[in-house]
Amino acid sequence: MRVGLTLLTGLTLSALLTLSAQAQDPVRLGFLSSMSGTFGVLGAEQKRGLDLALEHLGNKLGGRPLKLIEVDDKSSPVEAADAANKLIEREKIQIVTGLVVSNSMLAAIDPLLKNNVFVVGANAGPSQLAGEKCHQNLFVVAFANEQWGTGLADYLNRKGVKRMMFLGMDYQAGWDHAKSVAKNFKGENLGEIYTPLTQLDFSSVLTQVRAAKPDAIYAFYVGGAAVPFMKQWKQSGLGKTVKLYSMGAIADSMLLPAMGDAALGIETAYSWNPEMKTPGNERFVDDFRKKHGRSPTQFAMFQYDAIMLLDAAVKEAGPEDPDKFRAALKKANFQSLRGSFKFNNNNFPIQDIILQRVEKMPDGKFDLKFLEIIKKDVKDPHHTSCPLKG
Amino acid sequence: MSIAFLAEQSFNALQLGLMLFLMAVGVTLAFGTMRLINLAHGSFFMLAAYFYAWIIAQTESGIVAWVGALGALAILAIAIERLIIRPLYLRDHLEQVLATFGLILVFNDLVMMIWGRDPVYVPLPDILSGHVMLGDIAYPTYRLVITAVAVVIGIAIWYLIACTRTGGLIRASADNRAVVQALGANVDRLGAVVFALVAVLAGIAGIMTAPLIAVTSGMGDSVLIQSLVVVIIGGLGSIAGALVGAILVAFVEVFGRTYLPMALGNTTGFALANMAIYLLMAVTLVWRPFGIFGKPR
Repeated sequence: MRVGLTLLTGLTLSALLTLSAQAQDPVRLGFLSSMSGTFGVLGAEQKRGLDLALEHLGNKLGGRPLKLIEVDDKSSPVEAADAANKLIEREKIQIVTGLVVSNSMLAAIDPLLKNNVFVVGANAGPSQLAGEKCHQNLFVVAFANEQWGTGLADYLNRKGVKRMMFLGMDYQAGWDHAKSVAKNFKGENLGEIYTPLTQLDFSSVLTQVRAAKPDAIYAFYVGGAAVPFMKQWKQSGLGKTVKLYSMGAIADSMLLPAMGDAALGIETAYSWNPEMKTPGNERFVDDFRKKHGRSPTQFAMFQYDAIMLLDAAVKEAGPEDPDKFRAALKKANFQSLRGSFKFNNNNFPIQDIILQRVEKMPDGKFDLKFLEIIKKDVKDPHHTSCPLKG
Repeated sequence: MSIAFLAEQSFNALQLGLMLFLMAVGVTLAFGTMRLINLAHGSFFMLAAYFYAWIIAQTESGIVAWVGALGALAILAIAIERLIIRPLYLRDHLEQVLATFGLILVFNDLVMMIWGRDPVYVPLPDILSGHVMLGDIAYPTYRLVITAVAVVIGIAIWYLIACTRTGGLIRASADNRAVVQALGANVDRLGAVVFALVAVLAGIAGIMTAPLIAVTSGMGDSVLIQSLVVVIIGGLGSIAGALVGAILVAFVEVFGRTYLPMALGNTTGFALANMAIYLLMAVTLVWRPFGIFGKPR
């Protein structure tokens, strides 16, 4: 009896030991993104958000130590798929975040999900992954292409804008963004013009805008085309009679220094703005400015949010217990810098859309002034074709 | 479609065409004089813009920045010609293409290492940043100015080639390099001079375009492709060909993008507009396999 009791105690103790060992095992998190190549600017900005989040968390996730493995896919989907396999086989990765570009994400997602890795995307959100190819272990904290446009169209309708023209870059995101505004806009659509990704001279497009005499235009230009478009818009003088609306990435705090006053006064729809008075936002923005000498962009904010979501989930259950961990992620029991945040049935966010304006700040620099929340609780249009239940 | 609209689009096309001409004339001169296919031409376009942006940020003087950027570019071009290009004159074109393509990669990464990935700001004087009224049309002042400058430079190039001794040597060397050398002209030095000249022309185009677009790594790549199309249409080695080709390409580009979507609907129209200058190139090559002004070799 006595021996039995000792044995039992010993067993309990050793069981406790393995349990605590498990709790202290590091969480194996992979940061897979494009840190060089075409989209290297965006991946590097995500990384700044990641670093700041981990700094604020003392390099722990839900109180557990963290093993962070960073991989650069060099903006190539082939490299992304390769990197995903390496993370699975060599690093026994449990969670992957980052994934700044849609095509790299689509290439890496299958091997990751097949091997039961949790994926928390922090920027890209291709529509198929929000719709029929949604997955219980895939969470996207950022946005779906159509969300900002849906919010903006509502705002334009309320303002009574009558005649609009829509410009964009000729690829999936360009169509998604411009068409989401055009489709929901109730005034007269004077035309949609899509320019190839390589086009940097917009004089002929601007001449068409001048001839059509719209009240306002929506323009989707990002990456290498954003600065040229804004400069040429300014030089055309069209801004005096035509109001320009867009989404935040056309003139964010990474691009504004290269634009001078070219973007002054344009209004853009987005998920978040540095001036918002949400809990934690001031600390995030101030610490970021101290480190990098400018305001953070939304790319850094999304990645910061992704880490805070993971932190909150790991507090409840580690990824070793997939069902509990999944439920904890789904609850999204964290304070998003955006304020309101929920996951829809497809694990994409339901979020408020905000409007901001490029203004000259008291320090002489150009930055984004927060104006208002223009639409609350916006869902993406794809969630109805996702078989997952809320 | 109103006359004003047509006039404004024609002006847009003319301006694009002249900028393409400044680039294409360099490609065609390098080939005509030295039998060199130089892909690094787009890098000169980019480097000049970076040099200009950097110097103007330090000195806040446009003139110093212009002279400094073009001077630095000329010196760099002479060094490249001496070290990398000269051993390749007698080699196959494929080896020239590989070496100068390598230069593109090197320079694209180099500017990223020095100036970072984010686009660099290029200021524009206030008097140039607005627009002027041409009748009913408000046209950007800056585009008018660069159009005028491009015309002046075009005339200067014509004068240099047609009316000076150096120009005579360039033309002669284009026809028969060996004979020019046998007559006692210093063909090596001529090569260095021409290479520096074409680099400066690309540099002028780069600096003038910089306030319109973003100064970033790889900004010369798409311009290079368009100028190669121009040279193929106009005829490799012909300066008149570069001018005619550039204007043709620019008009097809601008009016294709405007009218094809109107005529054929957005989907077909945009797709066809993207192909338009390449279709023009293909048709030209069927009609005249060596380009409009090209000579069979």
